[in-house]
Formats: sequence, structure tokens, C-alpha cells
Amino acid sequence: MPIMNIIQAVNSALRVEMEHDDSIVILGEDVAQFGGVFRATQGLLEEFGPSRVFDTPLSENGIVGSAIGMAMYGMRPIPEIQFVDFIYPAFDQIVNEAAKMRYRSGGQFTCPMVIRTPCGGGIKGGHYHSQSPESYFIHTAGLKVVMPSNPYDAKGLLIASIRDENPVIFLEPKKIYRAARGDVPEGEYTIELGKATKIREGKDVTIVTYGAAVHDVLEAADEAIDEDQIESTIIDLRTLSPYDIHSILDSVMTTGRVIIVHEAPKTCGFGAEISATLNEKALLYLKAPILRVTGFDTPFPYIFEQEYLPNTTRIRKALRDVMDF
Amino acid sequence: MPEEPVCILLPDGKVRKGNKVPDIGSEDLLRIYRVMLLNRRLDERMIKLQRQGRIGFYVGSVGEEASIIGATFALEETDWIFPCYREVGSLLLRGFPLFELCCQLFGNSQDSLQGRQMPNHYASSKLRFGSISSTVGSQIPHATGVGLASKLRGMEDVALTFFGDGATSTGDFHAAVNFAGVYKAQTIFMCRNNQWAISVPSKAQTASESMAVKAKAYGIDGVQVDGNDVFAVYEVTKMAAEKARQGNGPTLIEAITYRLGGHTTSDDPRLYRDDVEVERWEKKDPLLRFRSYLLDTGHLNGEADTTLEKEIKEELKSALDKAEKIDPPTIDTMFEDVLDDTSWHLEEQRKELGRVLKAGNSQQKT
Amino acid sequence: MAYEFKLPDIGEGIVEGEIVKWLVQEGDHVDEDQPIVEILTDKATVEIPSPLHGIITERNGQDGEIIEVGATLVVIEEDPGQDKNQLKSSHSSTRATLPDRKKKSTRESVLATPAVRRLANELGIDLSQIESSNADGRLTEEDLMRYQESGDLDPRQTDKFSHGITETTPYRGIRKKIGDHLSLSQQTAVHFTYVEEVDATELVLLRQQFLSSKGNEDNRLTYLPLLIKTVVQGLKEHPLMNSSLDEENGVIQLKNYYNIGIATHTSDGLMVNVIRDVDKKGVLEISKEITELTQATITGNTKLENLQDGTFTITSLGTLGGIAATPIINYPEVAVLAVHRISERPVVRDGQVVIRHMMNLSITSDHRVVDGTVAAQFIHHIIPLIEDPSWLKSELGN
Repeated sequence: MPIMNIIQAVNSALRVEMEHDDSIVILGEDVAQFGGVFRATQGLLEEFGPSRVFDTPLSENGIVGSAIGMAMYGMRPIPEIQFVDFIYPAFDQIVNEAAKMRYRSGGQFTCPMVIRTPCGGGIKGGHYHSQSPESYFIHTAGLKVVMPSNPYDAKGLLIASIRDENPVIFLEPKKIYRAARGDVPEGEYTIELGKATKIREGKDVTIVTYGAAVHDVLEAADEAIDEDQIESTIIDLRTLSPYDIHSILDSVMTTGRVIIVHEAPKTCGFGAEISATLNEKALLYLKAPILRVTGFDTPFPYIFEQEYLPNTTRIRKALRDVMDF
Repeated sequence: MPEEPVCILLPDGKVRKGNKVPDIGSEDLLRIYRVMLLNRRLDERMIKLQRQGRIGFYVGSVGEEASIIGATFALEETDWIFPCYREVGSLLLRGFPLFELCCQLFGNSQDSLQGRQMPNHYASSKLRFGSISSTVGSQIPHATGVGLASKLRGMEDVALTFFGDGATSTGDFHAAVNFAGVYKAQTIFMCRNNQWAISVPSKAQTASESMAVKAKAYGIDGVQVDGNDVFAVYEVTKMAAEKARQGNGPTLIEAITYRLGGHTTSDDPRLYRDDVEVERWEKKDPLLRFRSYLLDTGHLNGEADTTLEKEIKEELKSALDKAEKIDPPTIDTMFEDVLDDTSWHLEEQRKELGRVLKAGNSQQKT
Repeated sequence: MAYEFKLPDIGEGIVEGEIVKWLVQEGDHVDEDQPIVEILTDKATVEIPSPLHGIITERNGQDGEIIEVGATLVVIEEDPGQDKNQLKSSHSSTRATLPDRKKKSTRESVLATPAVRRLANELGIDLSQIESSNADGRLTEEDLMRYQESGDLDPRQTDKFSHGITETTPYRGIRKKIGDHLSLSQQTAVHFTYVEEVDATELVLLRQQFLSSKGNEDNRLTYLPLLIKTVVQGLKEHPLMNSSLDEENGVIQLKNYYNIGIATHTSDGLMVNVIRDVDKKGVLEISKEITELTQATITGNTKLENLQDGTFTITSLGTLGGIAATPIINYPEVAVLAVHRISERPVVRDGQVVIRHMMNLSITSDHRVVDGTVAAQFIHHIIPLIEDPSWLKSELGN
């Protein structure tokens, strides 16, 4: 089985799907000849031609807005937004149009499409190349939101998203685009949307996380076993909306202690939602307050990137805090 | 671009010198007239119903019927329409049943939208009439998308989108027309310049000398047309549709018309515009103009017109009476169609609401 | 019919309007859609049309007065032949009224996490009786376990308990063993109790017939041996009821032998004597064995082997048997049956109220292994065997 990074896995998923479904088109800024600024669509123009892979004028609302029309017409557009930090001009088209088309038309019109976009910090990109705005989309009725943490999941989740009948926001953590490598099958396979994966099992604490933070959590959890004698269960959510509450609950009912780790700012971040839901569903199992290790409620700072992002030190501190409570 | 807007029928219903009426058979002429008249009577009736508290809201199209129905008639029935929100005439021309239309206004269980949208926010995939959003201009890129998809797929379908003068100020208008120009999308941009975006006059939307002139900047054709002349609107749209179908790119049409009524039932135009202006436009009324032409040319006579009025009144009454008696949709429908299947949290919330309503009901019984 | 026409919300959230000008007088006849009044709202001045044909019999408010949305504007005596029922407001809402609050919390304020509260609840411990060993005053699981294990040995707690208590009995020996065992059961098994009633009239008759027949005058046959034989029939049909859960190895052990525990009350507390292989024994044999074991228990001569290896337990409180209970499983068994007092009760048979000997059965099962449905099916398997006990006649030599 070939070893791929996330970029290659995304590219492979697009290629595999485009080969057997000619309704799929890729559009976005610099996606065709240039192959995308991160090279995720490299080689696809050559393989599928300009009617399947094409560059657009520089306008996010134009990209998503036309993709909606194309989806209504029966195609499967996969628009790329170059950085999620630039998605806001398309915000109305996503939340008011794509997300609501099925509901408001009584199911007569649908908008199956995958909006692919790199997200998150860690590349010294400052405020406009580092944001994690997933909560806006999780908060929006009518969307699915996905964020993989490794190449295998990236490919399986992307194929599942393309085949999904709903608009999907597919967030690709750019910090680990090339750093995360692993075995990825050449052919097609899917990972069911809405299902989390338990990547580590431990009796003391449940850590709920997703995206690039998964890697920091793994490191912190390993350190905590040796140095603090704390054993963690790590749940990688993979799909953020609708998220897999059952996997979280199963673990929390055993451990009784939870920390949630994400890059996005704390207030009204996804951790707040998970925490509130556990409060509703698993209160009697909780032995300590649920703690969040997240980005801060500031704009994304250029120079203090490492301090802003959840790191192993902050994660280990939280692990100790819930254990020693 | 011609200096004068394209015009065939003068306000008095006479054919303008040197112009020829389009080749439309008598039966179709009467069909167009009937839908224009029905549109007018529907609006009048529904505004009254709103004042009586029987429907919550209404958006009328009085004075703009020719620009809507003329453009729709110029399209193939398989062409797509992306409406703004005053285009009930398009639906009526394509045969949308009056009863279903009334069901939408009441938001009852026979409404295909299940009462999820405000009155007038219709949708019909069968009639290729897009779903209406209240956000101004957001439908314009969708028409670009369909026009582009049709082209990419080698199809002949054309997409026409209606929008008002206010919408030309939005980013979506700019992006959509620009994209369509770049890709030569099979799209028609039909700007119904009805002179007012609620209380802001057309002149305050732009420093451009017209809306049509904006086309030039996007490298596409732009044309002004007398929006109250159903023939002129038809001719111009027909040409734009054929051009698009042949792969020769999109057209921006500016139909110059006037909103004789309020923006919606929540509006009072007397607060911001002159009665004199309204009276001036009333003289250009598209319905009266077309009727004069039909009477003059013998396609219609006074007796037939009276019969038609009576028929329409009856049709309206019967559709309304039937629709008004129908119950609202069941509460469960509120949770459907959010996604293609119901996810756990929606299912939980549906049950939670069900339990609260049930508890309340059993309490009321005791 | 008079129709009250109320001022509707005519502009997306309007709450009131000013009457600019009435266009009709009381006594006027109006047609449907005929303007009746001009109203000025925050948003617009609009003419309100009549929803019906009829005569204005009442007109509320004068020109210049403010009228609230929802207030009656006019009353119209409608012309005959109109269907006014179809006029419904587009703004109707269906807000539900909640039923009265049933339970009011009187819980004292104790500092403890939800998990500790749950544990205390399961152990039946009142948290307000425990003192915290933590500086911040919070009760922890450790506090709870210490309290649980120490009984009244903790001096601080003894102080607390001794107010108003005139006598104390030590919690130790068999009493404590029973307590520990029940706690273990309660903490480990997921208890689920199901109660059903059974018509025991025929069983009562069967026993009476046996006791009154020749040669049996001195026999002390109780219902218990008859019920044990019946229960075995049910266990054979529902083997899960006769199993135990081996959590360590992750298996459920289904047993092919039937050792029925009989909960017996002694002065020291509850003892469970086990009658082995009851499926291979006759009713009278079982009866004799119960008598012997009970005697030994009461006199303190019970052998350990008589208390071991049960697969299912029956508890009977005899005449104190009550109508329902939540018996605690004799861990590691997975089910326990409580048989209650047989008493005459009025019941309906063929539409008539008749007096029958009725008995209730309470079954508790470990929900981890035995679903409620299985326990219920088990009960419903033995009910017909009790209601028609003719199959036991041969056992009794009839």
C-alpha cells in the first residue's frame, strides 16, 4: 500500500471519484493549471480536461454561488476555497442558500457539493491563513462538516463527502497537510460520515479532539502515561456535524473525566457544544468539570502562534487538572 | 446599445411606428393576457387577505407583470428561472395550480414547502422555477451556475434570473455576471428596474447611467427594454435566449418598469414617493396597454374580457376557499429535509418537542 | 351569527395602530373586501377590508384612538350562507401548558460531583450525613467508600448519629456479610424489577386436596416446593434466567443444573439455603429438604455447602409477603423471584366480579444479561403453570 500525505490522499480521492462520476467538476482559484496553492488538485486538469477542472475569477461568493446552480442542475461540484479565512464572502451563499435549499424547497431542490478548504494554524500564516471557523458551519442547519486528521481518513472521508447528498464543508488542516503520512489504499473506500474513531484507549480521561490537534493530543497522552500515570482514551471526531455523540458518551461513562481539545477559539467553540451535551446526557458520570484546551478568544496572532495553539503542555496540564480535581 | 429602450407597444396599446409585433398566435396572446390579469387580481385579493389577518405577508407584482410574463413566455418550458420574489406570473404561465399557490400562502399541509417559507417564497423543481430566498441578489450566481453547467454538459438549457435594481449593487450580482461573462454561460440576467428598492430610488443605487450599461464592463451585451411592453420584453428575451443557447454568451437585460404597489404588505410607499410619479406610471400600466392592443386588434372583445374577469374571480375564490380550510402541516415536518436523513440531534429535538406538546395537551384535557 | 373582527398584525410585528378614519358607520352593510377603516401603524397607513358580507353592529374606537392588535375592531352580523369557520388567523400559535410540577427538590446543599451523587444514590447513602475529608469541604468517592465500609465506626459519624438514638446494634458478622453481599450485588448487577399477578386459586385447591387426603394429615407441605417445581419449568425454557455473568472472561455462563436458593429469615438476618438439582427431585422430596435446611439454619447448624452454588433464588415473606417488592439479586446469579402473599381479591372473570385467590410475583433480573422482556416472558411462562397446576398432581401421588 502506498504511503501518502494528506495532500496526496485528497488528490487521490478526487481522482478516484472523478474517474467514475463525470458529473464531478472542480472549480476554484488556481486549482486548474497550477494545481491549487497547496497542490491538492495537481494533475487533474491534465487528466480530466478544462470542462471538469477549471480556474475561477477571484470571488468566493461567485465560486460557491455558481457551484450551487451547478449542483441544482445535477452536477457534483467540488469548489475549493483557497484558505478558509477567505470563505466569508461566500458565507451567505453557504448558510442561506446551499444549506437551506433542501429545507426551504420542501426537498425539491438539493445541493450536493463539497466545499474543500484548508484550515487551522501552524504555518506562520497569521490571522488570514490560520483560522478555524468550523463552529459557524456546525451551527448552521443543513450542512455537514468534516475534518480529517490523517491521510487515510482524509481520502475515505472525502469520498464519502462527495457521495453525500448534502452540502459538506470539508476542512483540511494545513499544518499536517504534508507532516501526516500513512498508508492509503490506491482505490476507492469510504469512511462513514458522523462516525468518530477511538485512536487510543485508557481508563482515566476521555480526550475529544479532531484535526491537527489530534497529533498534539497523542503526544501529550503518551507523555502523561509515563510521567503522570494518566491513561487517556482519545476520540478523533472526524465528522463535526453531525458528530458522534455515542462514541463520546460510551467513553465518558467509563472514565468520568473529559477534556476537549481544538484550535478554534474557546467561546462558543465546538468544545462548548460537546461540553453542554455531556452535561445533559452524562452528568451523573462526571467526576470532574469538563475542561477545554483551545485557541484563545483573540484574533489569530502571527508571532505567538505556538502559544495560541493547544500544545502538549496545556493538554497535559488539563489532564492533571481533571485527574486531581 | 440603442439609445432608446426597445419598445413595440406604446402606452396606449398602439404599435410603435416602424416596429412589428412578434409572431405570437392569438391563443397564446390570450394566454399571456389571462395570466397577466390573473396575476393582477391575485395580488389585489391577497393584499386584502393580508389586511384581514388571513395570511401573514404578501409580495405583489402590480405594474411589473409584462416584464415577468413576457420574459417567461420567451423561454422554453425546460429553461430554468431563478426568481427574485415577484415572479408568481412565471409560475402561473407555466401552469402552477392556483390551489397549490394558495396553499403556499397559507403554509398548510398541502403546501409543497410544508409551511417552511413566508408567503410568495415559492419553489417548483418540476417547473424549473428556483427556490426563493429573501436575501437580495443571492439567486443570481445560481443562474450562472445552471447556465455554466448546461454549457459544460453540452445541453441547450438556458437559465434566466430575475432581480431588481437594488440587487445590481450586491456582490453576488457582480460575481455572477462576471463569471457568466468569463465562461460565456447560457444565462440571461433580467433586471426589473422598478425604480425603487423599498424606499431607495434606482438613481441612488448607482452612478451608472443605466443598469444595462454595466454589461459593458463585464464584456457582455446589455440592453434596455420597456418593461411594461410585453412584446418588447418577449422579443429581447427571445433573442438573448437564442444567443445563449448557441453558445454566444449571456445578456444583461434592463426592463424599465415601475412597482405600482408597496414593496410588500409591510410597506407604505406614500411615505417616500410622490403620488404624481405613481400616476405617471399608472398611465403606462402594462396590463391596460396589452388589453388595449388585444381589443384594438380584435383578439379580445369587451364581452370576452368580462367573462374572463368573472372566471378568474371564481377560480380565485374556489382555490382560496379550498386552501384556507386545510390544516397546517404536522409538527414533525419541521424536522424533515434539514439533511437527506435525520441525524440524532434532530431526532432528539423532535421527540423533545413532541413530549412538551403532549404534556401540554394532556394538561389541557384534565 | 355575529363575527368579531380583530385587528390583525398587518406588518410583521405590529402591536397597535391608530384609527385614522372610519369608512363605515354602525348599521352599515358591508361587502367582503370593502374597506372599513384606515389604520396608521408604525410601518404604514393601510385600509382594512371586511372579511365578510354583513352589517356592522359594533364599531370600537374613535378616529385618532389607538387600538391594539388582537382587539375587536368591529362586530359584523354576517349575511346568511357564509362559512366563517374558514377565517382563521395566520398568526395562530399552539403554545402548550405544562402540567403541575410534581416533585419539589428539598435536597440540602452538599458539595459533591454528579458521579459521587450517583454513587451515593445507588448505595442509599444520604450525603448530608457524611463529613468531607477534603479541605474544600467536597465529598469524594473516597469519603463515600470510607463511610460505607466503616459503618458507625467513624467517631465523627457516631457523634452525628447518636443524637436521638437510644440504642445501637453493632453492624458486623452475618449482618455485615449480608449487607456487603447485597451492596456488591446492587453495585454490580443492573437491577430491573417486573411485577405480575397470578390467579393461584387452583393451586390453593390442589394443596388443600392433598393435605386433606388420607395419610397426609400430618404433612406440612407449603406452596414453596410447588412453586420451585414450577420455576424450574420456566428456567428450562429461558436458560438466561439460570445463568451468571463472568465479566473477567467476558462470557455468560448458562447452567444446565438447577440449584434453587430459598431465602430464609433468621434472627441473624437473611440466609439463602440452596436446594440442589431440583429438576431431578419430586415435590415431596423438596419439601422435606426445605424443612431440614430451615431447621438447621434456625438452630445455627447450617453447613457452608448448603449455602453455595445456587443458580436462581426464590424469596418468600410468607404472610408478610406484601403485594410487590424489588428483591435484590443473590449475586452472581442474574435473577431473583419474590412470591407474595396469596389473598382473596375481587377480580373480573367473564364480565363478573368474582373472588379469587390472587398472588403477585416480583422478578428482579440483571439487565446486563437478562432484558426486561426475557424476565417478563419467564413470568408469563410460569403463570399458566400456576393457574392450571393439574400437571403437578402426579407429583403429589394423585
